[in-house]
Amino acid sequence: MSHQLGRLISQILHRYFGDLVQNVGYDLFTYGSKPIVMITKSTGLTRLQVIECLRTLLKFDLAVFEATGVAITYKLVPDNVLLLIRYPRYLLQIKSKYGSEAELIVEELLQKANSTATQLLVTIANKYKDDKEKNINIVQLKDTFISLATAGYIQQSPVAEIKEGSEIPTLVPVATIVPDLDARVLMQAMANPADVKDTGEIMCLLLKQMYLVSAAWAEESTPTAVTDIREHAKRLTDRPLLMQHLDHYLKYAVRGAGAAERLLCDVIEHLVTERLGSNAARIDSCQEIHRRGRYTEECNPMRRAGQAQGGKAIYLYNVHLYEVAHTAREMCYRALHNLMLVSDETRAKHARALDKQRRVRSIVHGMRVRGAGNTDSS
Amino acid sequence: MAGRGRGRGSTVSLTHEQLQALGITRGENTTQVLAPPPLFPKLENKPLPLNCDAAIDYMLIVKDQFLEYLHESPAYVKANKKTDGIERYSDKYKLLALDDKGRRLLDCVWNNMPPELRPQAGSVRSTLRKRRLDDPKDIEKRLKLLEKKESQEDTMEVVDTNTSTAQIPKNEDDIDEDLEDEEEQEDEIDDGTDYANNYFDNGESYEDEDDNLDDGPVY
Repeated sequence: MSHQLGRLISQILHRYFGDLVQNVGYDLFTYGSKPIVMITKSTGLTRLQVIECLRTLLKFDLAVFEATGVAITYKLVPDNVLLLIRYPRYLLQIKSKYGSEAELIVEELLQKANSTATQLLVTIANKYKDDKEKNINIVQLKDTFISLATAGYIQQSPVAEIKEGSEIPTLVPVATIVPDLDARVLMQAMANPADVKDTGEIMCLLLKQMYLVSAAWAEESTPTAVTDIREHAKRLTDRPLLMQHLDHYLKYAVRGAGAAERLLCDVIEHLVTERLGSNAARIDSCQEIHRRGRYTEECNPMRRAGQAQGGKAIYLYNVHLYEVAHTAREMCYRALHNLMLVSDETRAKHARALDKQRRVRSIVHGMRVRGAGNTDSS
Repeated sequence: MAGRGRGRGSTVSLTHEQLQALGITRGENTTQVLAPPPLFPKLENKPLPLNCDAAIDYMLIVKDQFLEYLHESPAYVKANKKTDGIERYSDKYKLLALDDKGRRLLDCVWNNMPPELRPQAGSVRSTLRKRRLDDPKDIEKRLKLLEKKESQEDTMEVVDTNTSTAQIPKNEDDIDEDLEDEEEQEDEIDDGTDYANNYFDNGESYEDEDDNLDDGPVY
């Protein structure tokens, strides 16, 4: 919860849901939880408008409510607001993992926030009924839906009361999107070094295993027996050396905490290089090495300068990793906010051109439907 | 106050060498800069170039579609804009589109929503009552009641009161009740919005806001 985060969230809400929702959302962000009457007072909106905004926020799971005594108070969930901008990446992930049908399902579900399974499938089938390229079949859709649900990408949404025979609404759970995406980043980072492809492969196997066995985001996964991994490795025929490497140890475990920390260090180093140049990065990496307790002499440039003058003062610098991470995150928030502002302004500047483009596209579409030749429409 | 002006020898301040190491020396003050700094200073570290590939293009398209959908949906809350009083040809179409959008209610699972956000229960009650009036039987019954009352009023003066004492008060009660019912209904219909129904301010929160304004946002 910081000023930068608040600015970013307000900007996101403005982009996605308009300025009234932005007002209400930012008000909730600054004051914590609040009942409707207080929101109407501080935002200056009418009660009906506030109610509509709150409906939107609650529907998309961006806020929660709590009944305390007589009044019902509402509270914004900033993390879920931030997730809004990750939707495209999530869709990409689904598309690459489960194909375009799953993508359609998840897209529809993301748009509706929650819906019953039947309603969802029928809507999609109706929508793409005439599209011969996609060739949507409702049985296939159902199978995809079930596989998505078993994988945990779609979950049942919490309902106050479930009547017998009533449809149970489903929704895309925010909780699973995050670990999945983050694990993807982690996996890419670990599997990237090109010269050690085998390591990357083993890492992927281990991470998959970790998903099945350990709790999400455990500091260290439960150890995996080498036989399990060997079973997996046998299926990969194009890596002859993999089996040899595997036999060195008997058990493997993923140290999630260590990996995350290492990743963070690399990110920070990269950040310093890009922003302040390579010299600063060298100092930073010296500090980093010092922190790990390997070298003591090399770090601390001020100390040498001090000695050259013959003074006694020794200044010690060190990197406080947690705070650096915090600062880096704040910088990201600010950068995102700036980017969104710029994009909004550019869009506003070219609004007429965009509008025209949309109109031309719809006209062309209409002509195609009516069966005009390509020469006409082009 | 005693310590003032005697800071030179104290252990807190730095020695001359230390100051020199930091680049602070006596006499060598930096020259005064009179010209304003350049309007667009040279950027030393340029941002990384964007790498465009199919995946990023796809994500961009998906994002735009999602945004477009949201802007069209009732989730995008807009204030009712006041017109400038000039009638335009395109107004007709704009109003049609607006009506179409306005009628759609956000599609939520109302059971999960707090009661005050649901489409009001009050309006449900009034529609139920309306239905009772719409029923032709009720209208007939009501007409009969009124007729009876009229005839009773006429006969009241003539006929001995003892004969129908048991009947009349009951009927009158009935009629009164119905009339009250109607009045209540009219009140509710006139109201239009339910804004005034639920709004109650006991004035406790009046001072709260001003106090918090100076503190700035909560971190």
